[in-house]
Amino acid sequence: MEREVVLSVKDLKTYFFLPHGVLKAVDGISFDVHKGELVGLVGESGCGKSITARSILNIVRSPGRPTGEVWFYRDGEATNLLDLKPDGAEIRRTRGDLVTMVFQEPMNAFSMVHTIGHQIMEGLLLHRKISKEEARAQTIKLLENVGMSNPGQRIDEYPFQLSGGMRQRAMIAMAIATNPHLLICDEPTTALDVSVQAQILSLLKDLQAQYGMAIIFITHDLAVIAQIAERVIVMYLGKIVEEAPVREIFHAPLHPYTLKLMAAVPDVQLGEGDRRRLQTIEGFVPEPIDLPQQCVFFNRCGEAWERCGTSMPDMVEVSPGHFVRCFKYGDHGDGGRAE
Amino acid sequence: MMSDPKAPTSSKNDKEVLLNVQKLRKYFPIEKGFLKRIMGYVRAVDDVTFHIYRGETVGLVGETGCGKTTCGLTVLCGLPATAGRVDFTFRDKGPLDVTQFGGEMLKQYRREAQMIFQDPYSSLNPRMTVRDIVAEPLVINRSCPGSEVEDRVIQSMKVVGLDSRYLRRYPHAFSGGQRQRISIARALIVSPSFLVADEPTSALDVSIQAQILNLMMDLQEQFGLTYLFISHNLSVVKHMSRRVGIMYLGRLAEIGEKTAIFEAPRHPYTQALMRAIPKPDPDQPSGLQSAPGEIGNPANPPSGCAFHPRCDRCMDVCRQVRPELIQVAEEHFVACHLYGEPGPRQD
Repeated sequence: MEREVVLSVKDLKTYFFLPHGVLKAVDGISFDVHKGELVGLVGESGCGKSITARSILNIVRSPGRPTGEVWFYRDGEATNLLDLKPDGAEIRRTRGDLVTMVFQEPMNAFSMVHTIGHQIMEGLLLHRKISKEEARAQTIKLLENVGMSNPGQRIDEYPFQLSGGMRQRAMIAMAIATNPHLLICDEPTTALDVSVQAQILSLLKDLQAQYGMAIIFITHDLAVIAQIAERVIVMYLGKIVEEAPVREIFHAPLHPYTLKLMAAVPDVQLGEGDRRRLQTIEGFVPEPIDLPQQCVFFNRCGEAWERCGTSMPDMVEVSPGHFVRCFKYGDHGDGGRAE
Repeated sequence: MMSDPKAPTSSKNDKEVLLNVQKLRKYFPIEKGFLKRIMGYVRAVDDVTFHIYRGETVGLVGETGCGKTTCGLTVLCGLPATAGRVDFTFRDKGPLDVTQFGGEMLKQYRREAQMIFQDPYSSLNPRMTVRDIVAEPLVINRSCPGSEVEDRVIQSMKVVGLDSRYLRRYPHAFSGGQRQRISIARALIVSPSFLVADEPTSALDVSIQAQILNLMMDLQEQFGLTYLFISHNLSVVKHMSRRVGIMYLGRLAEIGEKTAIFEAPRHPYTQALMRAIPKPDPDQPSGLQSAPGEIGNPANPPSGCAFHPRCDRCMDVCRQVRPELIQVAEEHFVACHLYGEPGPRQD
C-alpha cells in the first residue's frame, strides 16, 4: 500500500444548476489512485461515474460545475486541476500528458474528417518536442503495440473505415501516446462483443504492466471488474457507498446495494437446475434533485433502520482498505472517515 | 416433416415441436448504381436449421452482425425469407410453412407469434399513448371487438406489472424497465404462444434487467409461452434458455442443451467464446483470451467453414468444404469438420 499517489480526489462535488433545482450528480467523493494501480469504478446509469471521470479532467459542460480538489502529482509537484481555468494553457499541459481518457463510443469520440493517424499524432506534437516524421513513426509503433494489423496502412484511414474493435484500439493508442500517469477508461468495452472485449481488456492489462500507468476503469459490468481491477469503488447516486480490494468486494461485500447488485447478475458459472429467480432491487434510482437528508439507498434498501431515514452514514473503515457507508457497520459516533 | 435427417428425432413423445426452421436463408442484395444492378448478396442468414419445442426457451447467441436478429425477424415473417421453410404448429391446424403466408393467414400467424424488441427507447412511438401502443396488435389483426380493446389493454398491463392508471401517458414518462414492460404487454395482448425476444435487456441496468428476466420467466410459466431468446450476453442466455444455438456469420455453428454448450462446447468458435466471458469472481481468472482477428464479412464470407481464418485447429478441408450440422450427442449438433466424417459435399 506504500505506493506513490498519482491522483488524489478530495470532496469532489459536481452539481448541475438546472431551472428546476440543483442536480447533485457527484456529491462529495474522495479517493486516491496509486502508481500502476487499476481501480474499478462501478455503478448503474445515473450514479455519477461518468461525471466523476469528466470532473477529474475538468471537462464537465455547463450547467455542471465541479468543486473540490483534484490533485495530480508529478515529480513531487502537485497541481489541483479544478483550480485551473478549464480551457487555459496550464490545464492543457496536464490533460493529454499526465492524464488521458478512453471514451465509451469511439465513433463519437473521434473526429470523422481526420485520419486516425492525424488524431493520434496531434497529442504527440502538442506535448513532445518532436518532428512530424518522428511522430508518425511513433504513431505507427503505437498502433502496432495495440495490436492493429498493418499499422503502416491503417494510420491513414478514417475512423469509419475501422471496425468497432479496431476503433477502440486506435482510441487506446491515442490515449497512451504520451505515456500518461493515469488513464481513465469510461466503459471502453460496453459497445463491443465479448471476444473483442476480451482482446481489449487483455490489451489494457498488458499496457498497464508495460508502461506502469494507473487506470481508472469505469463500468457497470461486475464480471469485467472482477477480472481486471485491484481495487473497486462502488457508487450510488453520486456517493461512494463502498470501497475495497477486489477480492473483498466479491467475496465479502458489505453494503446492501453492493450485495443486491451482485445477486442481480445472472451467473454464468451456475450449473443445471439453477434456474433460480434473480434477485431484483425494488424501485429505481431517484433523480438526485432535492434529496432529503438520508442514506442514498434508503428507499430501496429493504433493511433500513429509522436512523437511515434521517441522516447520512459516514464512510467507515471496517478492515484495512475496506470502507463502507452504512450504519450497519462500524462506529458512527465519531470514528468515521472524514469526507 | 420428419423426413429430413436433421429434423428433430426426439423419442420423447411429450415434446411437441412448435417451430421447425429448415435451411432458412435470408440474403440482402447489394445494389449499385442508378439501375440498381445487383452486385452481390449479404448472406445474413445462411441455411440455418433448428427447432423449438412448445414451452421451452431456445437462446440464440452470436456477435454483432452474425445474423441473429435477422434470423428472429425472418422466423416471424417480419422479413420475407429468401429460401427455406419455417413450420409453425398452430393450435388448431397443425404445422404449416409460414414463409408462404400472406393476407389473412399471416394475420393469424401474428396472433401466435410476437416480438419483444431490443431498445425500449426507439421501439415505442413517442406520439402514441401507452393504451394505443399496447392495443395496436389487437387493432391491426382485428382479433377482438372494439369495445373490448380497453379491457384487454388493462389486463395485459396488469400481467406485466404496470399500473393501469398510466393508460393515457406517453412513453417518455416511463423508465427503461417500465418501457420494456410496455413492449412485453404489447406483445402479449394477442395471447401469442411464441415470442421472439431480441436482446430484451441489453439496454437496461443490471438491477432492472433482473426484473425483466424474472417477469419473462413468470409469464412463460403462467401462459406456457415459448421463447426464442436472442442475445449477445452469454450469462443472460444461459440463465434463460434450455437449449442454446451459437451463430457465426449467418450460420449455426453449434446448438445443444445449455449445459453441453457451456460446459463441453465442441465447436472451436463456441470454445473461444466461452473463454472470452469474464467471470464475476476475481479468484477465477478467465484467460480473457479469444479467437484472434475479427468476424468476417457476410457479403464475402470465407470459403469452406466461415470460422477457419480465426480457428486454431483449422485443417485443409476447412478451407474448402463447408461443414454441415451433424449430431454429436442427443440434442447436440455441431457444424465442424473435427467431428464425424468430413462429408464430400461441397457448396
